[in-house]
Amino acid sequence: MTDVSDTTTPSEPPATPADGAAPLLRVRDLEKVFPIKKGLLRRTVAHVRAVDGVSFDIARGEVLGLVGESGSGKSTTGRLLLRLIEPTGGSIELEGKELRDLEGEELRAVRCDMQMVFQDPYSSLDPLAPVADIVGEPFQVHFNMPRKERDEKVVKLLEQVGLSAQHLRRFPAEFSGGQRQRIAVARALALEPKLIVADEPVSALDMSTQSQVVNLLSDLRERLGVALLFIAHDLSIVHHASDRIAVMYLGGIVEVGDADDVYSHPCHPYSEALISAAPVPDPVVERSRRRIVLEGDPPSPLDPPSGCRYHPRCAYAMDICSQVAPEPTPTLAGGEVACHLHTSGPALAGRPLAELSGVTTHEPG
Amino acid sequence: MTTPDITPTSATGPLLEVTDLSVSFTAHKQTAKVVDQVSFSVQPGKTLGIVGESGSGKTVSSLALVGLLPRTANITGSARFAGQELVGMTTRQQRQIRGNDISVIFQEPMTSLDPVFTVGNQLTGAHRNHQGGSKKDALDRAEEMLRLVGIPEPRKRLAEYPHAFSGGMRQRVMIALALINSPRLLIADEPTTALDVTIQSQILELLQELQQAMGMAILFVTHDLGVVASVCDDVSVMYAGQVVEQAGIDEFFAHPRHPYSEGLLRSMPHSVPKGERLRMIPGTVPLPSRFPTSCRFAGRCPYAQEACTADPIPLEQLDDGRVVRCVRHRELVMEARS
Amino acid sequence: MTDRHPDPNADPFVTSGNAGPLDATTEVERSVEGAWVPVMHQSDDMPRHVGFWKRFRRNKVAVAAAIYLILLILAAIFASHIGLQDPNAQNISEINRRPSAAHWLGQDDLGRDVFARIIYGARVSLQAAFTAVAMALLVAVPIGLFSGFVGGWIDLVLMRISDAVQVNPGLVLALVITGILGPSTTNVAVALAFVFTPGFVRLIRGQVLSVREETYIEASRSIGAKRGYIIRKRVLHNVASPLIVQAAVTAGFALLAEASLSFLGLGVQPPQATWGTMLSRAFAQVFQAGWLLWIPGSAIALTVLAFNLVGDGLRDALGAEGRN
Repeated sequence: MTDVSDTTTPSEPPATPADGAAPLLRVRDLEKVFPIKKGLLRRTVAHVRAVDGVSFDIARGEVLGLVGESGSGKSTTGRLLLRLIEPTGGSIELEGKELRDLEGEELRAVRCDMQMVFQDPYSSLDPLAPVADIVGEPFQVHFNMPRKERDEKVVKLLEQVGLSAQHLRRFPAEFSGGQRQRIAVARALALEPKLIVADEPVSALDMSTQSQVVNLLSDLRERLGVALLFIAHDLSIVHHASDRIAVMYLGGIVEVGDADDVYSHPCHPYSEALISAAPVPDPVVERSRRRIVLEGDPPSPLDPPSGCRYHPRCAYAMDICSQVAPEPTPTLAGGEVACHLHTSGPALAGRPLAELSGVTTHEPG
Repeated sequence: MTTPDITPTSATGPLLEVTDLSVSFTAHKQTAKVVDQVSFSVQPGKTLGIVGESGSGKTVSSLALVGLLPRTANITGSARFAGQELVGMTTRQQRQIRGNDISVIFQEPMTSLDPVFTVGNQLTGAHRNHQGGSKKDALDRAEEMLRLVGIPEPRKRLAEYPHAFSGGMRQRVMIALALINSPRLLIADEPTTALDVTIQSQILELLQELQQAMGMAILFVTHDLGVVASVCDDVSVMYAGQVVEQAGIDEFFAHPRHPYSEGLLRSMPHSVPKGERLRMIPGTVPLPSRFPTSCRFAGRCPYAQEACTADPIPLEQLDDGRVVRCVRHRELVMEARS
Repeated sequence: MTDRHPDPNADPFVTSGNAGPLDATTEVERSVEGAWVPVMHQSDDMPRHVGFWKRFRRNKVAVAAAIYLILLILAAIFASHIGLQDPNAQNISEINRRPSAAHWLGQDDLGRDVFARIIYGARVSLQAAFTAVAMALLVAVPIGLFSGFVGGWIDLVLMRISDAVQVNPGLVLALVITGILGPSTTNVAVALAFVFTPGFVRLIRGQVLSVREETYIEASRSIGAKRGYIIRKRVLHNVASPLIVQAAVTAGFALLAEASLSFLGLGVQPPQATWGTMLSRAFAQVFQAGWLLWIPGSAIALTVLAFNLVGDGLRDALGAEGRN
């Protein structure tokens, strides 16, 4: 959340899963600043705060949906967790173990516990490697397993994702997008990870195959108990697949809470606009509902607005919004929201935004 | 195979009437018919959505109308636009009609705008190519168009190059460029797919406003059923190079008549309560070289019977004006939601 | 979850039988059956991996060039076993004789059989060309991979060194090096390898720079693969295609360069035959037997052309592989 670092004490972590048990993953004040370099001497001329103080928890076996538009920093957040990109601040704890100081072998070992599924199944699989090598890569990398043993394991994994032994010697080009994404999922499952970061796993797929992959991920969660960070821009799919949803805007989480609550009764004006903007496949609903059309474009992360980053586009903006960054406050439904409406002005105090706007977004279900 | 005459619901007759349009490509002595006897019609001032997945032929059929396919494409059939036959037109005639009576906007606005000319240059050029007139008139018109598509300080921005605009603003410039000659038909090929949802809703709203103000018809090519529900009047569903169903959107979203339409609607997250598994259509779209001669969806269809794999399935006109390509449509009762 | 819709007609798009909630422990090991099956069945519909050979065979000219090169290489390797005359046997009574049944390509100024000398000459010329390319690759591949993948100041230094080599005209540089090392086939190959190495390094480095950004490299990193593994298993074979093409074309140039150096007397020493020296001797006889020039000349031209055509064919055949 925005500027959460100054205020939140460790004893009161934001966005804790409801059950209160120790989380699988605990992220605090995660930050990534990219320097912009220019000129012959590669002098740093500016900074992009791509991820700016993000905190959240993921419980064992939980699916946390992370939604946001391009430039919100959601994909960067996913990569920071696996340290595919080095964070510039904050902490990442997996089962109480801080990942930020790990190097070499220790880091490699941790990568067994966290795996990633990438957005584009056309570029995330080596085009010249057969399926057996792609899915078996983790076994080779970590255990240097002989080919025969490796292939047996790969077949089991392929069967888990709905493919079979006959696909072992085929190349990625022989598969459709949905099948490729299943191969990518099989690879991510190989080391029996505790958490899978799925970065827009269905947005490159055709609509009739999207549900195949979403169902597959839900199945695996149910059967294997693996937790998921489901990163996407499509709220309806995230809502369907997730237990909780975190909404990101310009590098910070603006609202987090139970999936149904956020989807049906958003507390942050941006969540409301985002949900309202997505068209629903029902012409009757489309004609009757009031659509919130946001003004303007998202501002550049190079030069983010002062105070609340959303204030220039916010329909409810007050004077305070351009001056002070809002702190996360609890919502009545048990989530958190970073918006002045809940503390100043009309003081919603954690009630859904609909009480102010009269906009209904979606009924649960 | 005979294709029914798709009679318009309005009295004036359709603005665009496509009948048995086929497009095939030949490479390495193999011919792939990627669009096979497609028929649909667009009423004046109305929006027809063409929905389909990648490989359905939706983009190819729309580009065939305006001669934007490579020369290797073999196009047959008929496409009558306001009484004029578009298929078989010379390149010169096509160029005359394109950007004037029929305009096109594409998915990726950056690749459709020329990076080395200013936005004003491109807008005035498009205007003067078709309408003639003085430079000053064209400039005024360009400014008016930019204002109309909601670009602040239009006069100043005319002098800027495309890269100075954000993604959403570029798509607005594209729309201004497409509409500067007040076309009667706008072909919009996935115009919002590359944009964020909040920007998408801005563009959709803008298109609807402009349609009302200018009275043009829109052929809206998309894969997103939500977009269809929010902007279209009628919808035509394509699968594997064929139209499988055409209907008004209310009837379509309430009661699809083709199993593929039903499958698509049901696979959307909205159609099932949270916590339930999403419905899915098993399998993938076959490649054009392997399209079956009978029903192309039969291999993935839960209702498929022997009759479905025997002969080609005709596109049938129903009493209520709907069109469907399925032998079992009379006996099956379908629901969009489960 | 359980099948909530037992009547398939009522809800046809449910995938029943796939994954019940079940006892998670046993389900892990069990294969998924039922509703996914149609998907697997459909995969037979997917594009077959169009083989490299199938695509290469489409290019008839490249195939002809490849056959020519293979025959030439085989003849050169087995030159002493295919019943050729002694290439160095002189016959002063029959000099500068035109082609005949006994001597298919005639006899030279010392009465030696030109056909035998061409085949034995091919042995030397091809060997020099292949050695040069092989040595260049051996040096260039590790440097290029390292430079591209690791980057940093080492990359910067390596690239400046390669610039320094590349600013010199290749043939002149090779001439100087052979001159310093002394005339011999091996030294010619070494000199040429030195000239070719920077080009290969740059090519590999450029390819690595683009492959490095591919998501599958990031995927390998996310699995926990070490840098060495990624370079060996993921990067190398993805940069191989353009490298093979470049190697074929360079082999043609090496052949030409070897002939040039031999022509200038810097390669093989007499009486051993090579195309360059044959050309040089024939040049001395140009007023007595001008046609003698044509034979080594055509051999050089044809073979260089063949290497280039094969390179083109490889480029077309390899270019699309796996990229779909």
